Amino acid sequence: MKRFITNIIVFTILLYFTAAFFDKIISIGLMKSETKIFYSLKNINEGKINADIIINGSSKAFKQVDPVIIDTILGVNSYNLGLDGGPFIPQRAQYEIYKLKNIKPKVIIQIVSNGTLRSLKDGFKDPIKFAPFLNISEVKKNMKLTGSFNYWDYHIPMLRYSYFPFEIITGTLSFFNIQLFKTKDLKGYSPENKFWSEKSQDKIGISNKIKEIENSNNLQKVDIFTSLDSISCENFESFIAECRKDKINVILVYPPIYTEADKTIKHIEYFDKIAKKYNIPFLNYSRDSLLVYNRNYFYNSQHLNIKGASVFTKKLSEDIKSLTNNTLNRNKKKIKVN
Amino acid sequence: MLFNSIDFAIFLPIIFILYWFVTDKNLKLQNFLVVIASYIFYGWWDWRFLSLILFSTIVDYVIGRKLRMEENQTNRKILLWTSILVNLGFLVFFKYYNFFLDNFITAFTFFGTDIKANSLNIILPVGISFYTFQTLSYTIDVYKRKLEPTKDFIAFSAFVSFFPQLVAGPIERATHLLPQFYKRRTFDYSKAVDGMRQILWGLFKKIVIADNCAEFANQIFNNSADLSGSTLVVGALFFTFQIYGDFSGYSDIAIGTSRLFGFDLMRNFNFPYFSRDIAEFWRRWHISLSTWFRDYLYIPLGGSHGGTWMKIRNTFIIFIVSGFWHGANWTFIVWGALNAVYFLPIMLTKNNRKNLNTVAQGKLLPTLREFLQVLLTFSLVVFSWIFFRAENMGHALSYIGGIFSGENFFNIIPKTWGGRMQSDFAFSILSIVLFIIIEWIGRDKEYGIGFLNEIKFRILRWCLYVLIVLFIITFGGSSQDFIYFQF
Repeated sequence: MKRFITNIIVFTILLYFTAAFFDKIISIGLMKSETKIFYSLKNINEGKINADIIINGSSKAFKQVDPVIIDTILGVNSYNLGLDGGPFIPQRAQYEIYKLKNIKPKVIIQIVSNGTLRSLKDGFKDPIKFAPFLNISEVKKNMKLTGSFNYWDYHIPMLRYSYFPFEIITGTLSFFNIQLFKTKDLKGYSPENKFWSEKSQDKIGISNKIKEIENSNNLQKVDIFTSLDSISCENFESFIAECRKDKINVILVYPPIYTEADKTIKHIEYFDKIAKKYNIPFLNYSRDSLLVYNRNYFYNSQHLNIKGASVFTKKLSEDIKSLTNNTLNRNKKKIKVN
Repeated sequence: MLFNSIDFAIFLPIIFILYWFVTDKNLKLQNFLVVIASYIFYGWWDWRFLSLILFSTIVDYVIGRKLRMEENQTNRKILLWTSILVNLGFLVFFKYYNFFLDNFITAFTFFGTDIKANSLNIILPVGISFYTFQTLSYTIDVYKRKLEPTKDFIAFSAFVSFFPQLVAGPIERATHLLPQFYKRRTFDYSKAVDGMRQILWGLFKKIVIADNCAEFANQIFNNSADLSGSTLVVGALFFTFQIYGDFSGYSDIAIGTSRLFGFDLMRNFNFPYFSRDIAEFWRRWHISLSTWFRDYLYIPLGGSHGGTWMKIRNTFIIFIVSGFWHGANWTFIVWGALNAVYFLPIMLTKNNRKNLNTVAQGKLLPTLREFLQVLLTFSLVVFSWIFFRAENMGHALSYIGGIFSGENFFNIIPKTWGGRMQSDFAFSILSIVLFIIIEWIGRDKEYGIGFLNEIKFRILRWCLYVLIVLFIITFGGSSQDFIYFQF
């Protein structure tokens, strides 16, 4: 028995250190990985962004706001940090890494929508992108709110990479500077070069995910997907307060929603209230007549395609320009809001 | 409690320490600990159904005692049937009530009589088919005087509820497992190490093979109407490996865990996918259930003795009952019947005991003839699994129709699968290939990696164990319930 127990202990120690070794290699590798889901975080972590303006948000930022247009119109350096399928708390976690490794931005364009402050009960898309950064306390704190990682993921090496063979392989290769998949650098922007289809028509009035959920007669889940979650709201407010303290100007932006789906436009009053409370601008394009009646600008009811994104970004940039009296360029004057 | 859960990873060492360090001096206390551990293990899922196990234990214990004292054959038969009715009564109620009701209503509607009856929202207690058959084997063996009924209620309770095999087998015989509770167990180092190794292999099969295959099998079976013939073939193959990895993986963990506590459980799988004919497959697949049906149903019905029609009848009965044991659905019945159809020609030509040894024994590779035999048997098995996996008969038939429709047959990867899904798909195929190679190397051992014990260099052996553990941790599929829990 003594021999058995001793062997089990020795084996466990050996296993722990081997796992810790591989965990380190994969984590370092993923921090350098140029695959689509790690690309922005890699640039953030390497301190390569240092933008004047950052665009924060979900796919509604990621796919709809073109930093190159913003740069051209405002004469600044901007970067899109949009997280596909990511509500606010993961956006915050990403911003915390940004703050640690980059110079603070002058302006944050915070794209908001019906799902920004939703409950995280059903998780969010690709939480694995935060796995290499769990040792950063602010990231850990935010990830704990999402429930995407369990207790053991934080304490046992390699567990956080369980069920992610693709990341394990690409992370290991990337550690040795072998990049199998490279992402085209569009300053974080990922436009959709596709147009409205029959499928989009079917899903009018409701986003794809909500529609699927509705089809399964689980209306309760629809509420979860577009609800205002108290923890997310609290986190959102503390973020705005912190930005104000850091003298970073936040502009809330609600992007255009295709007109026939206007019942999915939610929480306008809430964002309006927050804007007033913290004295920040709230630009609401959800029913903007330039965009929302033209189906050629959308690929589904919730998202603009590349053509629509271009029109939208131009309009947004012009509005920010007039809002700031064109003071962002070369840091001539401080931004003036409201 | 699932074997592949953190809960079990904590539970097992605690019970192990209590078993060998606290209760080892007192056999009764040690058996009592097994009972308590088993009830916690089962109650972790749903404590309410513990009463069913307890009730079944009391009924069979009491009937066993009475059978010993009773000499009158009629009274003995009444006692036996009481046990059968109580045990099967629970099983029928929980598992088959709604099935019978629905079919009863359908049959009457077919003849023009509308019957209104409400089906019940019944939760199927985990493992009920397994422990019911285990307790039945006790009463039947006592009735046949093959086994002396036990006086020791604690030992009997431990036999009925023994946690490693309680919810998904192997279905133990009282003649084999019960006596092990009467004797003092001593810790055997090599047995325990072998147990750990078998647990490791069971976890690999479950987490790496079954759980990864499950994702694709579910995806393909749930969207079968929109997919090409080749994708549907791949879906059936994924399910083939899912069910094997899942169920034989569970058995390996159960047998390995029992070894840690000094018990020997019967072997449940013997590399069934390397079988050269369907009879060999059934000697190697779910052995504890096949032999149960053989001993308690097939032989009492006359077995393979008697005329041709009797042989055909008995074969169909045993396969159809075996199919029905798996679940209350016509798909399981057709699956059983299809296997009977596969089996009959072999049995009627008296070739059913031709392949008793291991394929290509002592050789690295099989002959071309052996290879083709294995391939044909495997293909027949894969085809039958379509019925087993399908939601209903309509689904099974449309799935098979889809395979042979010929439309875009070679378009294996659907357009809807994104990059991640495609890479996971490639990874799952590679895992299956690796798995087949390891199982082939270890096919004359008790389990796939049994041969690792023969590696003399301890460091190399340990490195391979570490590698397997890391493989399980990192390349496992998202956790799925064990399929056989529902049976």
